[in-house]
Amino acid sequence: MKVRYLTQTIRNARVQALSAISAMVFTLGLILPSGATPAMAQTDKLVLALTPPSGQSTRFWSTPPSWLFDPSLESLVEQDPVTGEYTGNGLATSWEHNKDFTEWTFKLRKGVQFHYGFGEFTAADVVHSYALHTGPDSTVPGVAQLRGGKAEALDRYTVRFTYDKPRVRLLFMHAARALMKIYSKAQFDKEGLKGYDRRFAGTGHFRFVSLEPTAIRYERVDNHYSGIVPDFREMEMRFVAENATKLAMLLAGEAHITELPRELVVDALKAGMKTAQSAKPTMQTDIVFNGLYCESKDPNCRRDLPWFDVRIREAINRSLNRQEMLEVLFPGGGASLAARHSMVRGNEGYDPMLVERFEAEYGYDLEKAKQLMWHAGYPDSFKDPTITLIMTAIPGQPEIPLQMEMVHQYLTKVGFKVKFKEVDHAGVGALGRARKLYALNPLRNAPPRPTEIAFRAFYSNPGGPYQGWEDDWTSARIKEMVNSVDMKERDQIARRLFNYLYEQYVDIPLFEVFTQIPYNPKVVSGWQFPGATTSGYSHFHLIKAAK
Amino acid sequence: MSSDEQKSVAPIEPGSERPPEPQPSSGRRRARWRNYPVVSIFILVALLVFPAITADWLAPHDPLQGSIPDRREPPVFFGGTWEYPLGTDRIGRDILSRIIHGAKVSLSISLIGIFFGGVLGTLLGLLAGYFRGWLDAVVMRLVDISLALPTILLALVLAVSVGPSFQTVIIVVVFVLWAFYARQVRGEVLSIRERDFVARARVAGNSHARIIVRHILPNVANTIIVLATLQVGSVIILEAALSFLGVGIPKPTPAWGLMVADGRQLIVSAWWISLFPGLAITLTVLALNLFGDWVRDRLDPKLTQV
Amino acid sequence: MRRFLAIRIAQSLLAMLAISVIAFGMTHLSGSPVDSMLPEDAGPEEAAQLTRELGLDRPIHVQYFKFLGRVMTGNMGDSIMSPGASALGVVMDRMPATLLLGGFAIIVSTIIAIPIGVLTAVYRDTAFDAAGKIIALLGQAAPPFWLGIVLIWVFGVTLDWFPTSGRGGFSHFVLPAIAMGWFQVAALMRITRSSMLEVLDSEYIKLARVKGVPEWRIIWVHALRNAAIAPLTYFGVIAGIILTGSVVIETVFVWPGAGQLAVEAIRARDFPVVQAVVLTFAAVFILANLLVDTLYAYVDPRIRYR
Repeated sequence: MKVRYLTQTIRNARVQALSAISAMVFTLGLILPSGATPAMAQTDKLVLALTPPSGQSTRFWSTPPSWLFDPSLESLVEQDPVTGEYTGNGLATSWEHNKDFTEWTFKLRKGVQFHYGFGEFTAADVVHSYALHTGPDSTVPGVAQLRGGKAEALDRYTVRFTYDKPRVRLLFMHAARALMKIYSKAQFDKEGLKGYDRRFAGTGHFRFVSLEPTAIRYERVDNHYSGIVPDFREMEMRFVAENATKLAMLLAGEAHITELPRELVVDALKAGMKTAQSAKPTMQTDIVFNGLYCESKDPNCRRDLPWFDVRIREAINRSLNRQEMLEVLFPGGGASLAARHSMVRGNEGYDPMLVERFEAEYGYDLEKAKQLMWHAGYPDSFKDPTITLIMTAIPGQPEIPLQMEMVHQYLTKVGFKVKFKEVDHAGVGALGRARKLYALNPLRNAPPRPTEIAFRAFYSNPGGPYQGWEDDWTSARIKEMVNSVDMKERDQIARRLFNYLYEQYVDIPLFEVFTQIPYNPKVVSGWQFPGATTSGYSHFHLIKAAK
Repeated sequence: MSSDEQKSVAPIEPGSERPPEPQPSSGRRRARWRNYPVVSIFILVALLVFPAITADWLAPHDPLQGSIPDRREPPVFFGGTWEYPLGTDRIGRDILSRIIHGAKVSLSISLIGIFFGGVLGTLLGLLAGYFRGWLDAVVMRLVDISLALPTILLALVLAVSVGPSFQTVIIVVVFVLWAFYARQVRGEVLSIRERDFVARARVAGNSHARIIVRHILPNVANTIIVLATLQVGSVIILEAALSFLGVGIPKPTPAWGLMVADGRQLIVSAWWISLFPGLAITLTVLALNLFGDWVRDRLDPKLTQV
Repeated sequence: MRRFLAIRIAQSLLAMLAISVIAFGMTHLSGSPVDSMLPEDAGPEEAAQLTRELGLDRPIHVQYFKFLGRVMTGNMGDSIMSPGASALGVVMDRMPATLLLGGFAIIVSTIIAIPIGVLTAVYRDTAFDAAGKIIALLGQAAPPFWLGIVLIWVFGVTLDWFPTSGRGGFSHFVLPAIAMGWFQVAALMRITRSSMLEVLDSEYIKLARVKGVPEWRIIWVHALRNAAIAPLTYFGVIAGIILTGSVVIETVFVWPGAGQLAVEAIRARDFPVVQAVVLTFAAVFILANLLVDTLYAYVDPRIRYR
């Protein structure tokens, strides 16, 4: 080998040159370490380990929906931490709408100060924020609901939104989903978007300090208008993708609150941690018989799909042992059966009869399932009897892959031919928007949407990518409902729709789930949040320190 | 980059390169230890080859269908039963059975991937080294590019574009491996083609194809075999890394890497879910590497970079 | 020397150009960023509008030439997922962390591999040889993500010696550097070992022995100094392994580097960032190899004429 020749040729100087370079690399490594300091005063700084957001920017309207800015940027309408009701305790103190829901007027709180000295919050900031959030680069969820209107300042503390079509559920946009964050117009005028990028000013209980590759930092505001001062002076949200690492951080005391799949919540509890639970269910989870694009004359309708047959849809529903799934997926509790997807108590069209009938008509019954399959002629009378299950990871619901594996097991057991299709979350959206998502697709409805918005998203054409059921009757009813401002009539239509969808077995309703978030009781004593946001948690200022 | 240049630095002088065989100093045991990696071969047969061949009747349970009430059952000496000697996973599948069937999956990925990667790489390496000129330049630049591209990222992109599957894993494996063969083989061919017997064959009127197949290929065969042996382990590890990123062998196929990735969160409460497949990987790869080292010492001691 | 450098640099640039084409093509195969940006209830009009907004409705070749034009001027476009930031800027913010961890990993692997390599060569074919090999090979035999998680649990939680994750002072480097560096140990050890074997066998060492130089000096000073050249050439290859490994290790250890960024960007179909990461990684790899080759040509002049 070459080494042999080298022994003769190499002079010491050259070897030394090489060693010097290695030494440089070494010292570089020793000198440069910087960044987060591991030592922290336990009661002063709160660290949350949370799933990374998929984008990093301080522009809420064009960053995928996330909890990233919740501590600092507020929405117009505040929600009660216990009941989840819309209250006048936030930036808007009261609101009213005209009879046909096309004009909404908000009265704003006086004397609210933006952080970093950007002055008082006024109607101009709302108009400015509305423009930001409805612009062409906006990607906020349901932006279509927000768009199509006009925002004007009637006076310094009154703002009015005018739409040409009824917007019955406008408050949902301004509160629960926190679609529109209030940014400072004064800051924008002075510094432009770059100013937001550097350090945006909000009105919340915490002011923004910095956004780093794996963390966002806040510090508390001592004079928030609500009179509440957070217990922790600093708050750091660290972005941690790996669940095992999150749990390790929690147990090692490096993070004080973290979100974990329920299986690991149990592990955390065993290790002496406690959990905070949302006041209300944060999401509904179900599986959609996707791809039934069957309004008349729709070329995308595939009648040869096994689940085009309602008997197969029922058989699949009856093959699942939901009780067992609950135990496996949510071992710590905090979840219950949901009878009808997007039907939530208190929402329009809620029908308690469907809940009562659920066990008898959807319940676990292998004999019934096999019978239905036989009647439908499964598998012989289907061109392709394969049931395709989407295997995907949905941000915010880490239990999905296990849930789909269980479904796979149940369906195989009764004799279905089952196949997984692995697609990532974005890929599912792409297939859906191309109207080619012919598969059973897990869906996360978080927070549970108001009936009208759920119908539009999931059962109307054109709707969102997760279209399960489309037919002429359903579409006509949804149109009626959307255009109606008579609350009684709307409720009736919604109820008929829920009943129809229920009887057609258009999806596989699964669970209503509360958000459970483990915390270290040595540092945190509790956290009250309603469970009204997409991530489930909010009201970070209510995280209480342990004594 | 072009370690190919480095490879061809020292002209390979047959015969003179091999480090002298040390004299067996004392005792039969020691000589045997060196001559046959008994333990490695045993582990490989017991863990990889035998289960892979006999999986269907060796495995006590169905590797795909579990019994959910029996989920997260610990291994037999940790409170479990002989029904599931290594415990069960999160939906009640027998881990032992999945490991046994997993041997089949891991072995087939490795063999198929290495076969295609080896054939492609060897072919290009032979042609490049033999004909030199523009072909050589093109092949070596392709090698440069292939080595410089971050493979895991390409695998991720590939998996999100066409969806992860057995085939995409194979494609990634082939993509990673071919350049090693091409570079190595080309380097050796460069020196072999200068040797007398090649010139004689040429003078005797043999075609290029015949010279490559009959005279040159046999001379690089050892290198290829050594590379292939040492790479089986890398492929198994690569499969695991892909599974970790969610772009490996799709569920519910029992692949070792997938099993480790799947159970990694439960490392505290249900450690057996990831530990046993992890051990299977570690032992197998360890044995493969030791075995590979032995093969290399026997066949091609000058080959150091794998 | 100048000619050698010129050729190598030209080759490198050529490779980078080819990689830019591949990076562009691959990312565009993987779908549209629109789908990861829009929430579940966004309809087709919103998708169409966003597509227009991002310029993704234009023909693919138009997009490529725009892309190439930008790349030539060092501008990779703006990140899609992080509006307001340039793609290259986002990557460059993260690269120091990746390189620093990579540097540490190389140090760790060197610290383990060189002594083992030397000792296994000196005590060839003894039990020590076997044990050393196994220690070295273990790092290559366990899937790095699993090794990482086990390290976190054992040394971060149970023993509480090191922080579990994140970037900070020296102690934060230890676990990820071990998880990343151990993987290289086996290869480095092999090279050291075989090159030591050869050096120990050389006339020059025999001469030193005759002169009565103490044995430890012969091994650790005279022999190692010359044997160390061979592993140095391997650092070019290691650069590639480290960059690839960063994707997995950074995710496990919440390391704010470019590897983790790459995974996020691919999931989000953030084309400009994915392209920037691929090109940056390739550039680092190519540069590292250029450096190694140049150094090598410097110490071994014969290489320049090949």
